Amino acid sequence: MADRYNLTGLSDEEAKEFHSIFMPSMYGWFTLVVMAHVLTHLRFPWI
Amino acid sequence: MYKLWLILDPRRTLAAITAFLILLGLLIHLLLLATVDLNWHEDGRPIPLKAAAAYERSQAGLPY
Repeated sequence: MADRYNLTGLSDEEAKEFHSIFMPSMYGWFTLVVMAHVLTHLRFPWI
Repeated sequence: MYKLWLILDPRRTLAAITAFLILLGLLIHLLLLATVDLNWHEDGRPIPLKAAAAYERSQAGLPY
């Protein structure tokens, strides 16, 4: 038995691979969102 | 942390995140458009072309 049973059927390697794409993508999205808010607040300050 | 994907199905998670963010974005945009202060379609900016042209002419000292 190479991998123990788990809910998604992913192996450890597959989970690591997905994670290595998911996390940078998430941080990239957060960066984009923060930049959008900064630019929007510079143009139309709402506070 | 990567063990999260042994619990959450990546395909369903990505679909859920995508749907959630699209709906959230639409919701926020519609909420802002429904306000007076933050509606960027009816705030008069940029000023209409005729008004802008009239201002330019007046600044240039033109009588018409």
